[in-house]
Amino acid sequence: MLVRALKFTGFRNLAPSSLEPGPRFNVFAGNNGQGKTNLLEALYAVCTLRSFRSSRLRDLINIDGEQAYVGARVDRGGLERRYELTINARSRIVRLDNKAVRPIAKYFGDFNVVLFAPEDLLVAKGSPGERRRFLDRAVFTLKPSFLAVAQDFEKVLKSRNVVLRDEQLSSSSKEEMLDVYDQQLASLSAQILWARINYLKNVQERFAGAFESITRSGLPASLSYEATGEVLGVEQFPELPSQQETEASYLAALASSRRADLRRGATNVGPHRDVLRFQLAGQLAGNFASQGQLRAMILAWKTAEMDLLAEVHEDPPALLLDDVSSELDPKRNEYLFDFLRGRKNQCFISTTHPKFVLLSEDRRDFRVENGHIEESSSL
Amino acid sequence: MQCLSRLPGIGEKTATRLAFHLVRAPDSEAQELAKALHEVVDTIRLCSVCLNLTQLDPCETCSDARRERTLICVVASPSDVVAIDRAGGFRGTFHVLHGLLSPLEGIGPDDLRIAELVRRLKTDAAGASIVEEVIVATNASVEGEATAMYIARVLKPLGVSVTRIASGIPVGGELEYTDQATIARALAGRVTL
Repeated sequence: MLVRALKFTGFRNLAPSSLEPGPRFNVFAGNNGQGKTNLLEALYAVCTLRSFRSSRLRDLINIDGEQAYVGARVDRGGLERRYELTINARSRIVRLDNKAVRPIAKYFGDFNVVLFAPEDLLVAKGSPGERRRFLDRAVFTLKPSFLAVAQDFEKVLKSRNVVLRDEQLSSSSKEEMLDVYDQQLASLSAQILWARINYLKNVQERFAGAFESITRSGLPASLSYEATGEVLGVEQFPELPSQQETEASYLAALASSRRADLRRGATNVGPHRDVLRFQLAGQLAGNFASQGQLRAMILAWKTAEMDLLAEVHEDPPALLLDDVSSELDPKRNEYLFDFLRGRKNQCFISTTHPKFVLLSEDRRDFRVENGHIEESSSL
Repeated sequence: MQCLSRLPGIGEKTATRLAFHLVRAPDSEAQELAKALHEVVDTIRLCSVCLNLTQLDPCETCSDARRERTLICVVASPSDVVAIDRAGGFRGTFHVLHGLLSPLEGIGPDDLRIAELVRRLKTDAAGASIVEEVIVATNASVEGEATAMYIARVLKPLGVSVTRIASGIPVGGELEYTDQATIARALAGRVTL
C-alpha cells in the first residue's frame, strides 16, 4: 500500500499544499512548532477519521479558517483510490473515490497506517486507561469492524450508568432497565474481550521476539491481560471459552455487582476496567523496568504490530514515526532503522534534524518551516 | 424563515428558498398551506387505542373489523406504521410507542407509551385479553434493541407471546456488499430449511 499523493488545505498551521511522497522513506525535518507533527496528523486523520492528539476533529481546523480538508491518493495492488476528509465546525464529510461512504466501516480496511509517537513510549508505565486505548487502537487497525462494537459498548455503558444514577425511576423499572442493559453490555463486553485477547495472542510472540532482538539481554518481555468480574483467569491468555459462555459470565458478574454499582453510580465490571500489563521477566514493567527497557517494549510492540498487520492484510501498512528517534538511545535507533530497512513499509518520519534518521537509501527529504513543506536535497 | 428552518430536514438555505417562494407565489398558495396546517393541528390527534396519529378515534386501523385483534405490532413512530402497512401482508393492529428508550437523552420507560400497551393486553373488550402475540418492530440499533428487550420483560409475565422482527440481509440485497455486522447477525439468526 502506497500513499501516492497527499493534499491539504486549512489544516492546523499547514499552508495549503500537495505532496507526492516517495515509496519508502520520507523524512520531514524542521524545528519544533513548524508543522511536522501536523503533517503526520493530516495523514493519520484521512486514514482513521480521527486525530491522535485531540478528541475533537474540529481542533484540526486552522485557527483562522472554517474548514479543513485532507485528501490522499492511495495505491493498493495497482488500484488507486481517493480518500477524502473535510472537517467543518459541526460536521465531517467523508468521501471515497468521490462518493459518500455508507456505512462508514467501508472506508476502513484497505488504507492502513501505524502511528508511533513519543507519547506511546510511556504507555507501558502509563495509566490502565492509556494502555487500553493503545491496545484498542491496534485492534481497530487490524479489524476495522471493532470500531462499531466499541462505540455501541460506550453507548450502552453510559446508558447503564445513567440508569444507575437516575433517582426519578421507580425501583421496579430501574431493575427492569438494568436487566436490559446488563444483557446488551454482556454481549458487547464478550465481543470486545474476544477481539482484545485474540489480538494479544497474535501479537505476543512477535512482541517477545522483537524485544529480545532489541535488548539482547535474555530478560523476557511478556504481556498479560486481566479481565474484571472473573470472566477470565489471571494467567496469561487462557483458552477463551466460547463467546456465549463469556457472555453468560459477564451477565452473572454484572448481576452480582449490581448492588455495588447502584451505590457507586458506575459500572464496575467490564472491558472498560480491564488491565493490560507489560511484564519484564514476569515482573510488572511499570515498577521494575528501566526507562530504556520500557521504551524498548513499546518499540517491540510497534514493530510486532506492523508485521502482524502486513501479514493479515497481505500488505504492509504505512508507518508514521513522529520524532521518535530523539527519544531513543543510539542502539535502539539503530535497531529501529535496521528493522525498517528489512521491511517494505512506506514511512513518514518527522525529526528535528535529518541526521537522526539513520537511513541513506530510498530516502526523500523534506524541510518543514512555518507550515510550508519543501523537498530538500538529502542531508 | 426561522419558523421554517426549525422543521426537520430543512436548513437555513432551504428555509430561505421556501420563504421567498411563498412570498412571490400567488396569495392562494400560501393561504392553502396555512389552512392545511391549521386543519392538521386542529383535527389530528392520537388514537385512544393504538396511539397512532388519526383524525377519527379510534383510528381506521383499530376499527377495521378485518384486522386481527389477537396480534399487535409495536413500533417507535407513526411513520413506521406507514412503512409496515405499505409492505402489505400484516393484518394485525399496531401500537405506537412514540420514541425509543434512551437514558442518554433522558427518555425512560415512562416517557414511552408502554403503560398503554400493558393496559391493552390486560383489558380488551370484556376485561380479558384476546391478544396472543406482540411483535416488537423497533430499529436494529442499540436503542431499538434495548426497547425491544425491555418490552419483552414487561409483557412476558402477562402470558402473551412476545416476538422480535428478524434482521439480516435485505431482500434483493447482495451478500458480497453487505456489511460485516449485518452478515454476523444474519448468520446468528439463521433458520432451518
